[in-house]
Amino acid sequence: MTDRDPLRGQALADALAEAFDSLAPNDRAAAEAELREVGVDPRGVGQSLRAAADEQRHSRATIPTRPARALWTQLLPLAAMLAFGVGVGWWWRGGPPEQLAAAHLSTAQPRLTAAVGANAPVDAAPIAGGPSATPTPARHISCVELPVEFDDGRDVAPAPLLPNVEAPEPRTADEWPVDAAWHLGRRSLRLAKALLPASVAAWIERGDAGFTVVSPGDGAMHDNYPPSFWAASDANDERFYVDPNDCRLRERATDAISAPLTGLPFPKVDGADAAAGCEVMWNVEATTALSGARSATATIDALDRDKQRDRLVVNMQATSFAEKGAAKPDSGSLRAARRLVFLGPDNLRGTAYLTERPGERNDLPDEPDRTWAYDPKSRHVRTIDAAGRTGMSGAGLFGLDDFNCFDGRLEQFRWKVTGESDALVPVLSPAPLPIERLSATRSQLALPNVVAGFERPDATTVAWSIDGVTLVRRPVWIVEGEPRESFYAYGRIVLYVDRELYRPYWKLLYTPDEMLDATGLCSQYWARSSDGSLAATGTHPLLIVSDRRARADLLRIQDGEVFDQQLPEDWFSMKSIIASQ
Amino acid sequence: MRQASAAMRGDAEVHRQLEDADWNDIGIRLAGYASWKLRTLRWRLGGAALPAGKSAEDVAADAIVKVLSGERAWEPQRGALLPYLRSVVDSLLSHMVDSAATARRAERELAREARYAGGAAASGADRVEQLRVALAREQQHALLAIIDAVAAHCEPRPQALAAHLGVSVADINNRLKRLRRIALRLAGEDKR
Repeated sequence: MTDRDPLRGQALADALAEAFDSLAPNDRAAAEAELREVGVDPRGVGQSLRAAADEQRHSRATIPTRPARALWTQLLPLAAMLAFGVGVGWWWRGGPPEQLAAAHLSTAQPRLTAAVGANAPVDAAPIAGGPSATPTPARHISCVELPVEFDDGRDVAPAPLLPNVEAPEPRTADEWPVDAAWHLGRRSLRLAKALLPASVAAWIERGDAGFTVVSPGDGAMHDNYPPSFWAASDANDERFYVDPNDCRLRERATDAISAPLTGLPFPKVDGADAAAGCEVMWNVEATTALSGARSATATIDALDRDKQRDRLVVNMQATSFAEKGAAKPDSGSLRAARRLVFLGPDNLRGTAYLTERPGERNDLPDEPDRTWAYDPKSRHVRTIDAAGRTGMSGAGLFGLDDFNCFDGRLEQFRWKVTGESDALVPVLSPAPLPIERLSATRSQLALPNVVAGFERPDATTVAWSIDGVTLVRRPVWIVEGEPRESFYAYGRIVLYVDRELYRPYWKLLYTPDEMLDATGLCSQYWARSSDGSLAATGTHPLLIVSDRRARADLLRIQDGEVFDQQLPEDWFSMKSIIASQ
Repeated sequence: MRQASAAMRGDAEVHRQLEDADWNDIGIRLAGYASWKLRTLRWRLGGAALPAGKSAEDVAADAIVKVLSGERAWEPQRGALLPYLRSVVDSLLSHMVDSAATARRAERELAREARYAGGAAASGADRVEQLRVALAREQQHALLAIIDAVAAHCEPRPQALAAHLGVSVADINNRLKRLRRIALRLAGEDKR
């Protein structure tokens, strides 16, 4: 204490801050309390920083720990001896010393070599996080053969069924897009941040996700639909219109609500049009309905950041009458139907949901989906309203409206196009997968398994990190849907929808008070039979992550799908579901 | 030669310790520390004094990466790893403040040239006055006593403040925590 003038202003603020900082967290409990106070999940931070440490450790063969100059002076005598030894070895082997140095490097930095690969393009340097590479001549790259290093240091093969792509002339890292496969992780995020939803970029930044990015080539994905689909789409030009107020599909010629519907109802969408949002979503509905009746078994895992909490096993069956334009004989006019039966866990086995999506009727106001739930224990059937179509899974994020990324009744939302851009979007494979004919009416599609973080014993990433999903750069509409039902669980849905193929890829779910509650990754696939007579689209895997709640739901189709064009007429009925129990 | 061997043995030991470290635990402790320091810093310098978008986790990650990459060399004989990482966090934050100050000076020059008279963000000095007024209104005399003691050049450490005010160190710690919480709340830094 002195007789000096009292501290004032900034000097006093500095001194007070020093006093505050004397209490900075010194132990684990205090550090966790501090993180929680600012709304951060300590476990997530711990995992994220461990991933960052692992990435850094794995990106170097050795960890230098002392200033280079001091070590160098100490190692001079040793270096002189080594130089002598190398010289003798060169003389003895009759080759230049560079060969020995190269041999040494290849063992000292095995991970770097494996990740960049002998044929890797210049831009592959961010994959390994290694030193910036000197440009090398263009080479042919096979994406299938190129190992990819994930953020947690695992070397794994990229997603199967990718087409071979050819590397371009070497470019600098800033000249994106790169035409060869490359790994998008924390280090290379700067190349693609503007092409991703902010929440997805945050996943990558935290080390929660890493993706292989491929460029299938301009126009290559157009052929994911058969020529007949595109021909039907062209024929629909100017055939339909929608009123943005009710989003109902009408035929211009008759001004009536119409069917049948084949191909895209709106092959040309003007983003500035008030009805553009509805038109985009009707196109999405048309691509979802492409295959008619289909069946698959899927698992839905409810996940915390570090572990699996719960697993549901469900049998999903869906059909669409849009292609036929036919009324379902015994239930009036239907546009689509869904049945979902729980196979596990034991306490839920037999629980079932049935959804009937009414078709359009000229003389009546729009009718919402009719949904029923069946409880096998009480043998009771109850109706489900729109609010009950969300949050049915263990983590509370996944609901009936989330199948195929979006499976709600589109007329029950007010849609608008809020953006038009390019985006990096998730696909299981950019090329169509083969559908195999089993009989005249049955076909099957094999889907690759997708492994999640919680299933890998050596995983250092979050439980919901997934392998096998590839990103491609696609033109997208950013479409926003506001539910007409005030008691719907979400206040707003934002979808990134392909401007050519009309599949939804990213889904942002906002609470009624405008907080981002969850982000959905909808990895799309396309499939075609060899004769082009059957085509399908689907979503596998489907991941919904709530960063706010540090939870996720992961839906994965097991093995594949079966397409059946001759189901019993009452298959999509509660009577049929109960009878099968 | 013996010195070189000793150095190599030391490096191997450092390497082993860094490999064996529990980075999950260290990460949480370090991020908590960085969060505390970052919030205090924002309060001390005013809201706009630091580059936006830099979170405590980012700062902690930077510190870890710098130590693992060898950019900041850790020598175990001089202290444990976590305190060293904390000192790296302090250094990074200090560097951030310096960078932000340079940027602000440049902005002020530009604003002066453009005769721009926009409202400036509240400075640390403003915030101390804001804090004093709020404490006086709420009659938090015990907390005001802390500010007065620090203003009277009492060393800003709990032990010194406890001796000066004639109370226990635990009491001072509690007062400082309450004072900081109120200060951050008033400055809108309580959830950042």
